[in-house]
Amino acid sequence: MELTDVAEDDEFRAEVRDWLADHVPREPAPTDRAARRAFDMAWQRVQFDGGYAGVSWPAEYGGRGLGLAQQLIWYEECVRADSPDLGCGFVGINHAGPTLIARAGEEQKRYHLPRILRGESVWCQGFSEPGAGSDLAALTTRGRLDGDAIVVTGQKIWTSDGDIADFQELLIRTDPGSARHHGLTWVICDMRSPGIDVRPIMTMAGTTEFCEVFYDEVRIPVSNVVGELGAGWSVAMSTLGFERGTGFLREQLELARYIEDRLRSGVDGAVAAGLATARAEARAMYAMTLRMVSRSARGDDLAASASMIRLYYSELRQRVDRLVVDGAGIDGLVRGPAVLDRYLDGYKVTIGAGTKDVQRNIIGERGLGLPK
Amino acid sequence: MIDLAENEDQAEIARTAARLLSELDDPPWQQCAELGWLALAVPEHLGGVGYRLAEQVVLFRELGRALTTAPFLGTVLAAELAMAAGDTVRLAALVSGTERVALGEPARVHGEWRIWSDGTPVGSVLLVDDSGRCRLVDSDQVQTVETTATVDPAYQLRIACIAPEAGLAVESAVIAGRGAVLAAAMLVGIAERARDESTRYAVDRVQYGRPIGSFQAVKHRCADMAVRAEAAWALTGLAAVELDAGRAEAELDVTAASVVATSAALANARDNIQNHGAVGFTDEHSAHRYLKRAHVLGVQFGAPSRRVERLLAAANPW
Repeated sequence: MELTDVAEDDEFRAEVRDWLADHVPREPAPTDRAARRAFDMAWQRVQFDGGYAGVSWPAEYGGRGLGLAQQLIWYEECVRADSPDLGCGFVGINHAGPTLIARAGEEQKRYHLPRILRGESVWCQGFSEPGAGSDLAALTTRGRLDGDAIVVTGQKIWTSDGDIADFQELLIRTDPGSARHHGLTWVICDMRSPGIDVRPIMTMAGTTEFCEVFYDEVRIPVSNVVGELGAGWSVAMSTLGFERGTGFLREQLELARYIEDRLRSGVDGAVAAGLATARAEARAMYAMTLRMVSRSARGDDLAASASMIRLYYSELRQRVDRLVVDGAGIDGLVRGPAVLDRYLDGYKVTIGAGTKDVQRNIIGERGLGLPK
Repeated sequence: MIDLAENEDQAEIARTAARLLSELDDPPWQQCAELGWLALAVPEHLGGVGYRLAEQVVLFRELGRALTTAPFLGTVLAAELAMAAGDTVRLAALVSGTERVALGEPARVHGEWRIWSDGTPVGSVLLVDDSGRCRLVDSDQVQTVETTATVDPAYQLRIACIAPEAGLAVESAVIAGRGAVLAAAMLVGIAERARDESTRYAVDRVQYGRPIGSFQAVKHRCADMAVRAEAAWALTGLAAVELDAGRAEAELDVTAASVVATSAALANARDNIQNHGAVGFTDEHSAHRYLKRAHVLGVQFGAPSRRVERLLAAANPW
């Protein structure tokens, strides 16, 4: 527990702050899906041209080659500058890209990583199925080997951005006799392949980025397998590790900033007292993140830490959103992005990236060593 | 960046303290003084070990975990006061363990003070008021009016009259701030111990033919205990590093650490009683001791309502 590299960090922060002041788009993100994709990708390209896409990604694949500490500074300054969030770039930047960096072959990395950073490809996730939610290892979407291709048939669901994505992190069962976490394969699926049918699902928040994806004899080259054929479970665990861990740094910082903004908007009584406590907890969340970043530099097992932060964040987010809605009275029930839409959308955060119950299982079993 | 993983020195402090404290709940005061526990954050040129608050919190977490009642908190804060006042003779008496110091705060009646007493004699009392004014008053200037039992059998409250000018005074919010962070560290120790005892019990205790830790109702309660302990420790470390560095965010984070560590210790102590079932409600079992100590430590350096005011008043870290 100590301050390190103060001068370098301050210098990087100042540089980032100056750059953001000149480059953050000022127009609001559009709601139309195709327009939103164009908007997100354009902003990603601006970041790439400025040298800030993939701050902690290796320089040889187009990243900045710095550490997670600088990545955190980058997101802090982005939130401070009200820059647009990653939008549909989320999966590519936060977990598909990091999974490829950790587990993919050289050719796969050289092809995909620069495209993600340049804002040329949108990724989505194909893990959950109607019969395999929290119990991911129950998945049944199958891939049959046929020459140099895997032929995929089945269904995935809860695929955010499936409607506008180019590629998918797809987890399938390639060994027909296998059970549970054996015989699975993590493969890069081109979303424009023949046989793929994407259908949007309306969420309770009125958004449609959520999709179900049907696969009918979809041919995926074997060269798209990440890791080994049949060893996809371990690659999927890498993906989930990023998704629950470093993948939502920006969301955590946004929540902290949101609490500060609400406090400054004039609140009193129970809402003020609730937000004061939330303010303390947001600082604890930030401290947990700093601690995870510090420990990741030492190569510690962070599975339980990541789940702890995810659980802490998601429950804090929901409590704060509810406080704000309650504090606004009838005004809080009027449709609009600032209060109500945010509140309704927040019901997803204790479900996505593993439900809060799954996170507690991971903390109990991996963190504390309790029996299954 | 602010590195919040323990470095090698900090890990060693924790190991040494945990070893000694596991052998003896209340190790001999003089032995602790010889180990430098009272001089950890005193600069070397003043006869100290030369570490900072970031190392001190590691020690105090262990003291909290062991439910140590000896007046470490009052004595190390009195050493801070002696340093701020430039009184090196007094400092030497404090860090050598010769002078033990209890903590006191204003009572409801104006001019009266409430002093936490572990039953052993102290040489002086450190009085900290809401404005951050600190006074170190010799015991012979403290007139005890009344002594009452408290929630924690290890502590009595002495109601005392003390002349307004008595003692060595320093105007410094930093001493109370350091006290709040050290108390938070002790609360983290309690939160972690409650977590660990629940975890052990959940593995060992069998009902319905299975360890109760395999039931999600119990497992998830233990997971929540782990999250609270982690949040409180991370924030306590952050507040310590910020105070050491004189960072502006310390204003918010010291109070935040008090709030988060207090609720972590109380909630974990509660859950630990629950996880143990009926035996957890007995006097013989240790579970209630964590709850009672958490209540005492939780009100040091700021009542809960005062903390909400401070949280609302602290500068925006954004």
